[in-house]
Amino acid sequence: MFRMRRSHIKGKSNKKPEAKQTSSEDLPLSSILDENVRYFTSLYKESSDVVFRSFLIGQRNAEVIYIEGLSDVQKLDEFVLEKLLNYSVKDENELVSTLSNILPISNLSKISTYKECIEAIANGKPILLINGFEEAYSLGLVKFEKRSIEEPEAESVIRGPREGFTEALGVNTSLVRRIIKDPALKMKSLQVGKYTQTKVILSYLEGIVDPALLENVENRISQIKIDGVLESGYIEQLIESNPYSPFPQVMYTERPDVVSANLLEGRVVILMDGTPFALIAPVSFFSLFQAQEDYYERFWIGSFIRTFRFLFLVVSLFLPSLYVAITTFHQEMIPSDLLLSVASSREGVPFPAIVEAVMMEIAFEALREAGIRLPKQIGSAVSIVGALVIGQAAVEAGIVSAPMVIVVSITGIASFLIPRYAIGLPIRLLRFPIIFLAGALGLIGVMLGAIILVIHLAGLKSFDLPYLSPIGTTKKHALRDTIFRSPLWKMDGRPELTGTLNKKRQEGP
Amino acid sequence: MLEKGRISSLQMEMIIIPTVIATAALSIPAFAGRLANHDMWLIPIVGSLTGFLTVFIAWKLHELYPKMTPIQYSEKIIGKIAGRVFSLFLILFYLHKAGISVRDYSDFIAGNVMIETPRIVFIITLIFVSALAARGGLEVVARSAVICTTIFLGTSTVLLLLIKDLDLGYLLPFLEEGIVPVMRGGFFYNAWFTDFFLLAFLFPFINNHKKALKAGMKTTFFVMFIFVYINFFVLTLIGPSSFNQFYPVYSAVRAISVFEFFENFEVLIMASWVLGNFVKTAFYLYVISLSIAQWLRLSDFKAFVFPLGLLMVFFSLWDLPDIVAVRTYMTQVHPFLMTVLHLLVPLLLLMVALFRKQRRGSG
Repeated sequence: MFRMRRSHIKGKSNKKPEAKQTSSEDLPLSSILDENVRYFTSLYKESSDVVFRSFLIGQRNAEVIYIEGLSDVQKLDEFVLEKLLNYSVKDENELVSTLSNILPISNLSKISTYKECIEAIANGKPILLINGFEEAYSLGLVKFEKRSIEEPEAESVIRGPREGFTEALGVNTSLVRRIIKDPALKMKSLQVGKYTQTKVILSYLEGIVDPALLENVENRISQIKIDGVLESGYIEQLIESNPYSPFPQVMYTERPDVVSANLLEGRVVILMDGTPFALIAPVSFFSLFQAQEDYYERFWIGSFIRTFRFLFLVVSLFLPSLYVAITTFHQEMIPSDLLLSVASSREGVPFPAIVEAVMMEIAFEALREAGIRLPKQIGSAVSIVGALVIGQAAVEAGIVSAPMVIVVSITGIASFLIPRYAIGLPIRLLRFPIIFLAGALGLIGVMLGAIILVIHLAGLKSFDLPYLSPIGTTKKHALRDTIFRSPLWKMDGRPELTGTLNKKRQEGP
Repeated sequence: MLEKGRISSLQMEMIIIPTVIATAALSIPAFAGRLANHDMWLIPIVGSLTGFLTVFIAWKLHELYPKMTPIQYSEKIIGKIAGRVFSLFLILFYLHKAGISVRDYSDFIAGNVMIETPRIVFIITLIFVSALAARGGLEVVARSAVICTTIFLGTSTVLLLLIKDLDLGYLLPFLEEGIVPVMRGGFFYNAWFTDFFLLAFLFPFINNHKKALKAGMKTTFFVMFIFVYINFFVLTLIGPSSFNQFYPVYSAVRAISVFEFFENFEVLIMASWVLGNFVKTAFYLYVISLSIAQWLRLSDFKAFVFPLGLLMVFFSLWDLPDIVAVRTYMTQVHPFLMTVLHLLVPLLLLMVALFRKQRRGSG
């Protein structure tokens, strides 16, 4: 269940300033222009990027307020100021009724409170205030610099669409809309963050998503009381059921096709302004091992690669600890020829296997991290140095044994096979405690570590969906998309626990 | 309701299989082997009859009192005082039984694999992880069981690598002394097959009731098959001398050698045995904690798990002095105790319950 405690503490600390602000913001606009302008100038004092432009419409005073760089000034001049300055009024009272016919702007709306005005200005919509009227116009002339649609670098594919989300929310929703055209696709708008006031969109397919799930997700998002969200990772960590677990209970992606696939499976997608990463909930352990290409290639290939992935998950988690356990406690397990070569290569090494393993794993993790943060020009230097340090030189110097280098590099390769970066992280982390257990209790320690891991995963839930589902189900069709990927025509049902409302995916033959 | 979780019939099977066979898996041929000699592979088939009967009794009781565990319905059937006494006895017995099985596990590990590590390390670590699972509730136990049992049973296939070394001559002469020794051996297998009464603690939480009885019967059959499989391989590989060994299955696995590379599987077997014992201990700990909470009419059982785990550590250390005593107990006391508590008493309960129902129906 959602930790009430967290929201409670945050709610407490934010209580005072919030009460002050809402009282003034909810006030309706005054009909006297000067009063309104005075309010806004005092609100935006020392903000040089807020532009106030006063002018006359016929005999009436009017004011346009916008933030430089967020609005399209050229269009504002051309379609608003030019029309209004040349407007000759016959009857002043007709002004408002005719205004919407004069201004050639499609996204034009009337607003009546200070709060709405501030919101419009912050979102890049210039507002038009006219003396004598209690309503203002927000002019939808938003324009800001944004990145073009590119292929997501962190989730590249060989086969599949090459577009990825950008930082602009409007672009992202349109990308999803272009894939799912049915009006059942809903985009519910929410706002998070007291100062950032970030727009968050809750996207789902009506008639497929479980209403209880939707309500649950919406509740948790609206309970977030924080000053600002800068990335969807903030939302992810604040809405998870079990925030202390190392495992992600929400998946993220930059790809519209992945988002659409999950919408079709009855999941909820959370898009956020300012980040290309969309969140998907709920997820299970198995869905984190699904790559989109599993579905785009033939099912044999998809199944083969996926089985491989689980195999290497086990390798990346347990190989170093198995090596430590076997060389320290169970030498009899190694066939004698192999034992001889392992023993001879370990001969000159001054450390016990566990020290060797921990040392090498730490060196490897450090190298990996160094490669990510550095500028690309220096990155190649890191890999050269790294190859020397944890490779040849270390073995020749007799600091580590050659089998250990092989074990560490296989573990490294294995961890790169995991398609979602988020699930690779806990595996990297958990490798270390299991190495220590192996060093203490041998294979029994490894098994105990594995059991604790299984218990943790078995108790984990992502929005009331068991993390390990569909394990233990008695329904055959639910297992068709786990370790194997069945042919598309066989996967005719939605996942057991998310797609209960609308079970059938395909019309029967 | 103390337990809100619901499990599927498959999860039930996955819990009950290691609960019945985990401890016995390595040593079962030694127990009743000397009674039936060359026919010992037949014993489980005879023994399984009580298994089917126990499942049926547990199911009938469940049908009469759905959504209740034996702790709850024994009170309804034989009255408040008698029911509560029986329940308390059952709880204490489970504590003792689970303690013995943990003891068996630690004896094996400390005696064969990790000779220099003290036994108590294995007792405490196993009970600790089991308590973690039991505290998570039935669903956590069930989901972990699915994974652990699958691996546990999966490793039993390594025995197939022995096929080239088998000597079917050990099976002869067939039924040399008639069927009686086999029947007597079958009675000793009651110690395991009557464990199926523990299904009574799972039936109330099954979400697909229609499949539950069938699943229970299927599991009994499967356990019988595993026992026959193990006995057969041990008998045909080692022969009658296996009766005198503590862990004949372990010896059989040690003999595996294919291409002179695939050998020394005994560590693998030992590792998977940890998984089986984990499921068993976790399930017992869960049953005991739940039962105590029901017996005391409390609303939560989770607070009991760790204290009971500690108690189980003591039970495993104090109950019996050494492995020889454990073996004597297993062959001379255990089968009788199990038959009474898990077969005869439930049968009595069922008969009383049916009698009461009939009287209520007619009156």
